[in-house]
Amino acid sequence: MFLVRPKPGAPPDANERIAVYAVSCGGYVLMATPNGSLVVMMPLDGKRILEANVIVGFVGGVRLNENAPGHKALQGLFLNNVARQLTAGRQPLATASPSRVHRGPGS
Amino acid sequence: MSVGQDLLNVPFPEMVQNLAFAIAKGQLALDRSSMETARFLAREKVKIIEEISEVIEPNIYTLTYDKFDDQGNSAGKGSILVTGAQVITTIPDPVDMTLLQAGLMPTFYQFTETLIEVKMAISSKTSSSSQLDVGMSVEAGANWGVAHVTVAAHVNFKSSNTYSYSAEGSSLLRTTLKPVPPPARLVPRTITVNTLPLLQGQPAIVTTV
Repeated sequence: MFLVRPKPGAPPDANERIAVYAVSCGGYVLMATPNGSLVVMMPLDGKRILEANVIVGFVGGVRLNENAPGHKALQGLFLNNVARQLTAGRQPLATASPSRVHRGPGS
Repeated sequence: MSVGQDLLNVPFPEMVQNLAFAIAKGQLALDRSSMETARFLAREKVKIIEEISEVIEPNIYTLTYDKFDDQGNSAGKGSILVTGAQVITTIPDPVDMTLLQAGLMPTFYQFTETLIEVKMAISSKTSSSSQLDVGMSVEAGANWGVAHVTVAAHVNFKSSNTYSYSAEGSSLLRTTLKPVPPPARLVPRTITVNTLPLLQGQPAIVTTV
């Protein structure tokens, strides 16, 4: 899993473009945050693949802490989003847009 | 040029030193990336519903029905007690917390094992050959009563030395990178104080995670 942020000064739809790119490379968008970050799950060599995109500014590896109070909620959110993408057939243009990704309560 | 000297000429100490500096530099870059990830996670806020409580309660109700006698005439009302259960779900309001508090943490990596290997194959071959060729000719004759003998001898000696030298080398550098748990102080502690036992005169229970 990776936390992905666009470069400073990137266009307003940078997150959507990064999400489409990640899905087209075999990844899944797990979550979109209110401050403009994406949490994505990528196949092997995912960091290099994401960093190859010109509008990606930062890629950092993340993992879930099972002892944290909100990890179950995050897990449920991730699974929900992945299930939506799987059932929608993973077509990049139709389903990978974060506008169709469940952002979680309040986001 | 000797084989031993060639082996001594391999800059092994410098190679190990360069390797150690490269690993230190790489580790620093990895740690910086992980800390940058932690900073982003500490700034991103989300609303999380921590827990949903469900209470299963008995749900007993009475069903009434019409009674009839053998002739089919109404005989009043009867009742049957039906036991069941109902689930009462309580969903609290979502709370604001950072992704770090919620449980998303940066991954830290560490160089755990590094191998440096240098192999050299040196061959030195010397061959020498020599050739000796000896010949003699004798001629005898007489003329006007005078005898003469002529002896001629020749010696050819040839020697040659051949030297060949070859050296081949290869080096191998292999390192293992493994994910490790983040530093303990990076993750904020969650202290939960359960005051329910106070209702029964017991002290509150404090749990730290």
